[in-house]
Amino acid sequence: MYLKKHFFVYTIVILLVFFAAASHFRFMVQQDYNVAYGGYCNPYTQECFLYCNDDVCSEPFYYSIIERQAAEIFTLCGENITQCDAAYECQEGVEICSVIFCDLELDREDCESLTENDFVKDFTEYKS
Amino acid sequence: MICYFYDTPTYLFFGQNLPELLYYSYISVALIILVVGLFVFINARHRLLNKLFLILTVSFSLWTLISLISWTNINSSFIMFIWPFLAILAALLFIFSIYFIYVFLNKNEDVSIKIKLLFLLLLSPVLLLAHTNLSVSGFNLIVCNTSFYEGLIFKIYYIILGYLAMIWIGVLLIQKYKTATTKLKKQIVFIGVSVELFLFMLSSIIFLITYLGGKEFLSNSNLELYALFGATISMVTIGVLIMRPKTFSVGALTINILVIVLVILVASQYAYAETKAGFMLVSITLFMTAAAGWILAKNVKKEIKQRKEIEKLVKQLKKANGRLKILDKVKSEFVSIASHQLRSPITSIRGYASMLLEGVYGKFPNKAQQALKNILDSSKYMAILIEDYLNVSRIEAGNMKYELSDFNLKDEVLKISDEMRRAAMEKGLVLIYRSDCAGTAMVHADIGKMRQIIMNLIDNSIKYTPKGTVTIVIHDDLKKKKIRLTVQDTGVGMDKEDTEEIFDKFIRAKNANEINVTGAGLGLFIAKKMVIEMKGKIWTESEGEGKGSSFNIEFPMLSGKANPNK
Repeated sequence: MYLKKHFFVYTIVILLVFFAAASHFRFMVQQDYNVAYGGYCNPYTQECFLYCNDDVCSEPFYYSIIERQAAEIFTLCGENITQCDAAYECQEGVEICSVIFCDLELDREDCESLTENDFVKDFTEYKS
Repeated sequence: MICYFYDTPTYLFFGQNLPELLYYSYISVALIILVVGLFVFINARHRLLNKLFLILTVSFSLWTLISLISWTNINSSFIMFIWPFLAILAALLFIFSIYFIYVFLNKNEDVSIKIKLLFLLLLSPVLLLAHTNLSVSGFNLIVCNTSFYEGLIFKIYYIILGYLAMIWIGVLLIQKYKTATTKLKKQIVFIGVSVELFLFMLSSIIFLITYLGGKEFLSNSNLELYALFGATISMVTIGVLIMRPKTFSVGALTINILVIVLVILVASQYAYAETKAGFMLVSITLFMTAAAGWILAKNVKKEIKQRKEIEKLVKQLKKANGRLKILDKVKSEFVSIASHQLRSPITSIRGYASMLLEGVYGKFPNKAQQALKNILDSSKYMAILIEDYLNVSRIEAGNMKYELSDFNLKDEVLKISDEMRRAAMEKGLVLIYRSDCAGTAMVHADIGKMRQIIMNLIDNSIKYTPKGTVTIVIHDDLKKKKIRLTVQDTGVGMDKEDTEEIFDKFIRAKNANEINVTGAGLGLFIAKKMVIEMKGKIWTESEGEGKGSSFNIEFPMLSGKANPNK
């Protein structure tokens, strides 16, 4: 009778515990997800995404987008990737690793006048 | 992985270079909601409605805190771990809001197993799939969030759940409202509007504002905060409503919210106080605001409570008054019937006693004659008393008839004075009549009733004057067109309190019984009612007990030539 009366709450609690455990195991222990971050890009030789700090783009920052497995990059570089050269190139035998450059022919304007908001827009379009 | 463009936060969410308003709004909202939820729960911890409210407040509080952490933390794994919690908590808030409304409308009765299963069915996709790629698959270290990797179907599902909850609750409320009592209708409206507003605000934060902002329809970045505050106010309102449904007042709630907001605003000034003096100033202002707010809220609450008590008493009083009127009417009818029944035998007694005294049935010895005289006097008194009761009944039932005509008041007073002189002389009193009329002395009234009133006043003066004089003065005021009769005596008099109450029903002066044990306290009551009905005025004056008294009546005088027989 007691269980019948409270089955709803107990079921939710059990599902919540299951979710929390599964989520912790997947994301915190296994780090089973993709990460995207900015990679090297030479604007003279490559087609780059452009990041500007201000409207006049006084300090342009050119970058490509690297997408790979979080667990793998963590093994290679630890928590911080900024001081890790291995993070900026895809090693041989790595299945999930891609470097994305800006497509000047398709999105010429976006690539030339990028701000932080534009970056978001471009990236969203890329993902879709 | 850490977001390399951002500084490392302290204690999960205290990051640098982030607006302080963000912390004040999110942390204060989470705390206020949690405190309200716990307070309501402790107030009646066995009540299902309070338990559900606690679940709602804890869920919303956690949702607010997790939102803040996901916004300010830079550890991708940790954000990935907590991010799906937002969807789960939102789904729980939607479903438990429906559950809450069901229990509220069913007077704290739990819902059926079928409905619970339906709730579980709706919740399980979110709970089972929140950790999978369908919910979230990746993280962007550049913008430090998961927004590009959120599963569209999963997100749409729990957003639809929110709108479904709003519709579901709306239907339940409307259905119940149609058959509810006035009192319940008020509660349904307040609870319903609060819950719907809460869900709307929550849905707006999760989806609407973000979506419209993305489409560049909205540019105000503070809208999310407004929605957060709106959801909080709705939640606090629900808490107050389920704790005090009977004494709930919009006014009191508004004052409480105003005070809380004021205190929070003043407290937020600590963030800008850089010197000791500034810190002190904020502390003093905060103390004064909190104290004044507390007093204000307490007084408003007290006044509302008093007003409700008065309203309740007025209702009871109206009810009691209605019952009293019915009882009074029944009593008057009874007195009227009883008096009519008594009048016939008394008339017979008076008639036969009078005939016996006159010797119609032979001569009686002196002792028997005295006894017969006593019978006649008592029956006369009884007849007067019955007549008084009948008059009172007529007056109260509005059945007293007045035959108005023009007559000379001075002449009538003179006649009555002559008639009453014998009674005064028998008691050893001197009855003086004096006229001081320059006008016609004509009045428009019922001559019979007028005689009854004047005789009653003179009779009273004779009864309550052991020795001395009874003076009857009639005089007029041509300017005011008034005529006044004063019956003044050197009798027992009365105190001020008695002069104010002497015309009330069944009221006699305190010292009346010392000199005259008979009398029901109806004569002056009847006189006053009659005088008023005939557009006149009646009052009494006395300088105190033992100093005599004067009874006055005043009537409008008809215009005409001056009286030549003055």
